[in-house]
Amino acid sequence: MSDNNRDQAALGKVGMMRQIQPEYYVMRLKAVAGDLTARQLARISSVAEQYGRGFVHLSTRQGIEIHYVHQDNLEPARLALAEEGIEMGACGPRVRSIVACPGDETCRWGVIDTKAMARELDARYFKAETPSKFKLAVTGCAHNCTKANENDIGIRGAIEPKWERSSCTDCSLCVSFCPVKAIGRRETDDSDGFQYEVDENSCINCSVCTSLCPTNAWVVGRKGYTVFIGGTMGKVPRFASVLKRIVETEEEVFDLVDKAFTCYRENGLKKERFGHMIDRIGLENIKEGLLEVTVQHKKQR
Amino acid sequence: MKSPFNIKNSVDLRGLSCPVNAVRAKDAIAALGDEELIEVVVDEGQALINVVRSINDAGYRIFKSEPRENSIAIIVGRRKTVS
Ligand code: SF4
Ligand code: SF4
Ligand code: SF4
Repeated sequence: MSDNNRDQAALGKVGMMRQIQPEYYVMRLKAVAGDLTARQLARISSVAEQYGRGFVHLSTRQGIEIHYVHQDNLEPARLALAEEGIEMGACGPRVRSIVACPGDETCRWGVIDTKAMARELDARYFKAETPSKFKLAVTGCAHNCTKANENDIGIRGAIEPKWERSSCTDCSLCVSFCPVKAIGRRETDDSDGFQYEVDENSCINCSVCTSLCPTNAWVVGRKGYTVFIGGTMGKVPRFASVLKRIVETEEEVFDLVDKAFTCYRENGLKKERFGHMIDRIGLENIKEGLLEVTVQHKKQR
Repeated sequence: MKSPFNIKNSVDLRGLSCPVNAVRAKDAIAALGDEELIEVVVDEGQALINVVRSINDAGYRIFKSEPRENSIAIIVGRRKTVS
């Protein structure tokens, strides 16, 4: 590696990328879950005025970039940002800023506290070195606003619906509004004469039924997180695979994420994305390994 | 549909997008008498979800539904129960 390349790698590590214009850099800022305070925005604005060219660029991962910062101004600009608690983002083969939708704090469909989860993932993994870039996203429900399955690890809020006969008026509306037509009505031999059922294989755990039933006959049976692994868009896109459909505790989510992350660090080839590593080794092998380790880990306690 | 309900009218919301469909539905329901019901026909998919959500949020009550071709007919009243 030449000195110049080494410098570039070091700068990339702290979120500064060389532009095609000689001596000019992009400063990539970190915004966990896309959140910044108004004061931070004001500071970013003044830094862009003073050291950039008076504009910012919004990235697809909820980040802000200040473009056209001369190399001599990188340090003063960074310090000015740090004063307001604005940290630099990440580039290169490491864990990138964690993205998240607003989640249950403000969104009516939200099933989980996405931001708290994103902050915890940030504290644990941000900037950790990986074979290739590594992206994590948290999304509050199956609407999937932050696209959990386009990330190396995605976490999506999930519910498992349960039908309560006593509240159901047999209006059959749920058969129509379930987005994947997973709900069916069946005649039965008992005194009720009918039953509504979910086809678990097609259900996407989306909470539409539990939100829309006019008499609240669909209730939340189980609630938790769907954990996805191996998604990427980029040059060779691959949708993430479900590692586990419903994980009920936060603790188990972190456990699985940790196992998946370690598995990638240990087995991924240089520049190989997690999903492509999974395809090389075999999804079932990987899943078995990750889930088995989790079970053993639990038993030990 | 064979129905014990006193259905006053039908509003066709097919082809209308959100939020126009939901607003029209709520206007029609608001004009009902206490014992009256109305049939609302809405496209399946997101339109149905939006309209049902608005009707529920407004405190109106859906009693019955019937799938039609690419659409759903829902029977709605202004009150939570029919006597
Ligand atoms: S993913 Fe769900 S919870 Fe998150 S913003 Fe979208 S609809 Fe709301
Ligand atoms: S929408 Fe609710 S009340 Fe109507 S059939 Fe389904 S479960 Fe029963
Ligand atoms: S959770 Fe969603 S996909 Fe599953 S049955 Fe309910 S509406 Fe259908």
